[in-house]
Amino acid sequence: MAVREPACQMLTLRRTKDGSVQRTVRERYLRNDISCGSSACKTCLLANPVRLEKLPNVAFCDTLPQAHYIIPTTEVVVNQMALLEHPEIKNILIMSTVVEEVEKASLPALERLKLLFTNQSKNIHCFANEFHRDTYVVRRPRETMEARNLRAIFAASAWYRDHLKLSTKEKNPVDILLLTNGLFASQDEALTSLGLSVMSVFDYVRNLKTTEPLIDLLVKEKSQEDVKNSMFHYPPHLKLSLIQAGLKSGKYLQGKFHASRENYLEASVSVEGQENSILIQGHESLNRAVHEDIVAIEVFPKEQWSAPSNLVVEEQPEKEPVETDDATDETEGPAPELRDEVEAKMKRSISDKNKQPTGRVVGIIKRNWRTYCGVLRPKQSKTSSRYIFVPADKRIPLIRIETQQGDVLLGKRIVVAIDEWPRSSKLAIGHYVKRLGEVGDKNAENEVLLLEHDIQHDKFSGAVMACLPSLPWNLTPEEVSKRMDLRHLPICSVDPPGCTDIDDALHQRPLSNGNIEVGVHIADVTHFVRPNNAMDHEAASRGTTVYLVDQRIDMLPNLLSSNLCSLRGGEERLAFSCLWEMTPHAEIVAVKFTKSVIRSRAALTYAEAQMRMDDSTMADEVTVGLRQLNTLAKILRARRKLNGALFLASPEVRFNVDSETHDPIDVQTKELKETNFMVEEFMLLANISVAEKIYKEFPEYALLRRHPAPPASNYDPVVKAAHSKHLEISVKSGKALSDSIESAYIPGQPYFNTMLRILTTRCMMQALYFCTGTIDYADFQHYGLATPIYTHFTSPIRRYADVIVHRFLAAAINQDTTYPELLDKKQMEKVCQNINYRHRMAQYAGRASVGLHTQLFFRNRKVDEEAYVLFVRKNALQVLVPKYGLEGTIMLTTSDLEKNKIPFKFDQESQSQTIGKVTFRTFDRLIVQISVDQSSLQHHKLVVHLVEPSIPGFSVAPSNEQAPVGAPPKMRKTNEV
Amino acid sequence: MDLVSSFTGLRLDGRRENEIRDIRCQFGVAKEADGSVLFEQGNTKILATVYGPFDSGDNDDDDGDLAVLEDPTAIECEFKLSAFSQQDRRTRQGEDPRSEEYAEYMETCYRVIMFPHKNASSIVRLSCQVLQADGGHLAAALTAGTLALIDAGIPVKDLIVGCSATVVEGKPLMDVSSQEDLQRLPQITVGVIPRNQEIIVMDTKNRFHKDLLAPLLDAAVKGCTQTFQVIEKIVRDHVRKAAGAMSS
Repeated sequence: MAVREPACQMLTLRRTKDGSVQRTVRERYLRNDISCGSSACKTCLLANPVRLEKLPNVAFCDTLPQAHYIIPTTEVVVNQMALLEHPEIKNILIMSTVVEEVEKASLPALERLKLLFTNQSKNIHCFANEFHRDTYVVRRPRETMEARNLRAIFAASAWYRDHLKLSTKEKNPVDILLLTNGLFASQDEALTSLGLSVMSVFDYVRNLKTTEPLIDLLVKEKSQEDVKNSMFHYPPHLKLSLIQAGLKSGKYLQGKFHASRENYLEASVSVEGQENSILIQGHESLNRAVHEDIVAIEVFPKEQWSAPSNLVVEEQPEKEPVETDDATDETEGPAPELRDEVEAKMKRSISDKNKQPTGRVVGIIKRNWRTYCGVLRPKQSKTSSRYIFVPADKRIPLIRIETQQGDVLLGKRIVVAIDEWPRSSKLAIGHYVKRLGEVGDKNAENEVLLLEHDIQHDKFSGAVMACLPSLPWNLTPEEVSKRMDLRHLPICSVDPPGCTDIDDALHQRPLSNGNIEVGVHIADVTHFVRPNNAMDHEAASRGTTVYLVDQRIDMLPNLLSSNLCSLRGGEERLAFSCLWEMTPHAEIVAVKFTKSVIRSRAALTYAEAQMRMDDSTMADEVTVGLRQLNTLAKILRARRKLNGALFLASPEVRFNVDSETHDPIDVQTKELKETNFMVEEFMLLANISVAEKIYKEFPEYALLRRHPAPPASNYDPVVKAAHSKHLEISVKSGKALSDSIESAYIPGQPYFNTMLRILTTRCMMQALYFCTGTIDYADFQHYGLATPIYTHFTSPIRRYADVIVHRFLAAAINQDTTYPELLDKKQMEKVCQNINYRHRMAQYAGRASVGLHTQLFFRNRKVDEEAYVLFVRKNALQVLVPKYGLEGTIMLTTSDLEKNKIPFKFDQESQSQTIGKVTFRTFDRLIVQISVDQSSLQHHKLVVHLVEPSIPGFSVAPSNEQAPVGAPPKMRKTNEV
Repeated sequence: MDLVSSFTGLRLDGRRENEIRDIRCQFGVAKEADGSVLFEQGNTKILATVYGPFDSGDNDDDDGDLAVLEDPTAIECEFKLSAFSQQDRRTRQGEDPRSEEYAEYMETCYRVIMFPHKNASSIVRLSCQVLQADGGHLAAALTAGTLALIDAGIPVKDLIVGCSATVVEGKPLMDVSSQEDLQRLPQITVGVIPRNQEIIVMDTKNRFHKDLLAPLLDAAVKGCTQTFQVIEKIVRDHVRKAAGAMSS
């Protein structure tokens, strides 16, 4: 029997951008071999795994006790994805019409739907009704596409129900339930004549027997308040067609919206192709745009341009009574007077000189909303179910949610999604998604920072674990025969203490011609991680291992990260080696890459390696090798410096963590030893050599890493700050910059140079992975390292980029084969985008984790420390405490000061704050007091107060004592001293 | 847009990965030609016409005999993409740069299956006009040309059929439609003698890696086999009908 019908023709007419009408004719093959996907069915061809249960959802819903499958409409899929994703919602049947509509309506929703299908334990099936002989629906003349699609869903649902009736031959066949987001008036007839069971998703969920109420997961229906004109708080957004016309004529610009961390009424929009971003100020100009949205903006005429206010303003200064009248449910967000006051203050603070292009948001091109972590703010009245949600990320506005479990959720870290932001609502409106744990609880807070940084931290799935080799794993003779046997070489690894994922090792040995052979050996991860298996997909999606203070979220399962791929001392391991022949002056004569077998003689820590080198009595192979390598590394480093490589600094700290509670008990800055530099130098060299090789072999596809030179204007803060100390910083080239930083020392201020390096680091651009086929060779350069070409090869256990590079290199030396995705520019670009994003997020998460632990560390302490001014703001000083690598803000406009009429004077030009005889400038040394403000249950925050220089009425008394455990800190009171 | 839906596993037009489009053909549509066929593979429509064999006139030359003997199976092919065959009517004058290449592929193919002309100076002219372009033009032209030769009664040893193939996310797809063609994915077209799966010509489009060649070839040749199963029946029916008409 034929499985498909002769093709039918589909004619579509489409209006193109230039206004002409385009006619397309496409074929469509209708089939009769499409499986219904139900395990109750006895007639369908069961080609694919059947995923719908035989007796689905029995006695699950109070109003529909019999077995049923759920068929959501497009609106439900687009709006209520959180519900469909919930593990207790099972046996979902998605019509292919719905998939097509979702694709048009919302790509993020489509991606989530795809993800849902990859979850093997979820009972979800897609029925290809658009290609089924009996369910395909022809569009009627003058029928809208929406009406036709709805009809198609109805027809398919009815067919499906009848099909189950026929094929199961049971008295009580499985029913289907059409789940709608609202009611469709016009289709009532169709429904009654077809006799389908239809229910609104709200009614359905309300009657479900689930372990926790799911109703909060639902996105409420769009509020109808828009009609009441007087209620509008924001100007309307323009229609997409108007925006497009405006973009074309140049009236509007398109860009990405970046909310300011410091001031909730300020944001910038980066427009592609423009160096300076456009400033947006005030709630009407911001016009409901949320961080990371793609927006259309209108730039004001030059007279209305403004400057960044330099104010630090939080959306809810906690001391201000904000909720005035909760009974009417009208108070959301800052009281208008307060907001206006802040806006006025911002206006006052603008000086003519720093004006920059300013504009307003006229429309939203694409929302990039995700779910947000945060806490609920307690409300004053008990009657209302409305709460205000304070996101952990300061760039996200407050969100109003409605929940029945408010009492339970107060004081908890929860996750919330934004649903809409109508003109009539001051705040965005959202709904509760899930609960993470108590505020201040380390696990909950960790969860928050993982979620906020979009880090996948679930356990590896069964499919991934199935890709692992079985234990005990042994080196087979045929594997050895394919590789270069380097087990006789004195190879050793040098890593930080406690490192279990050792991915690099080194060796050197003298050659008979007087030259030296140097080898860098990298764990051969790609031997285990084969392209396109589940483990590869997982690693590709994770992109990188994430290091938090007390936790490591591996990119690869532990068996590989810490065992089979880890080049442990004394064990035979597979490696990918890069061998150079060098002259004693570190000139490379030849380079060779090969897969190899090695046996590391010793896995050393930096300190151990340093001790061995310094101990002149030791003369074993490994130690001699280390000394020689160190000599070479010094030459390489000096040469790099000569080429203009930058040696920058960022404060890094280590926590000593209590082994029981995992609470930090001590903190110290990381110390860098000579051996650190030695290893780094050879890794750089290996990366450069590999980059050259794979670029030569795969000029179109190779994955490299570039670091663009920042525009000169980026350096302004550093240059200005150095100028105030009478030092000139040249930014003409990397070399000039490197040299001028090198010579910038102030006698008596040993930390000054480090500060300068820290500040310069802030001016840098992000380094990025890219596919060579997509940009010019001239743009390949790595500015920071001063090398024309660079990649990442040396850490395949913890970075996916290195895995790809390993595959390129293996293919280039004919020791492995390529595969289609490797040689697909588009795919490669996608990989790059993902790993760039993951890499960035991992960095942020790492920093956030340090922040969290710093806060835990200071929870019951009050410590005076040395600090340096990083930036001078209009109403605040940002300071760095080197000992803890901690950055804090000292607010300069407390109400106490204003009362006492001793305001700070801000000088824009010299970037300084003056009060009385004391002036604060960048780089100034201060003594500050660090403590945690626990006065609010909601928000524990680290606060920094000035101790020295002492300013009466502002600075606090020095206190080297620890505050008694459990006693509430009395910050406000100390202010009054 | 996914070319193969990750939800249903079907292609945009409802086919599975290893399915070719419907093939229809109608013989003798151009009455003035010695042989003609209107060949449709999906929405790709090709009018193939054959004139000849007739005297090439090369005998008039002094040393013409030699030249003709070198090519005893002379055939001259032409491949034309009609201006009206695609979505936007082509306004630009001049030939599609690939047309000449395609014509050469066709000549190579048919020489393999044709017998030497009885008269050494004979030549056959074959023209393939694409009336509607919906992907896989060369493949359809190769198949259509064979059918037109048969309709013209030119003796052939075997049939040549063509099929294209592309690869999406590692999965090969046979018989590429124009929607699939738009994505600039690796693509090959082969002209094959299906009986022994001998590949006579192969054309590649868009750059791809050699590792992809094997799966692409496999899909294309399998597509040829499928095409052949359809074509064989059509040819047998047609020849039977023609023979019946002659005998009556």
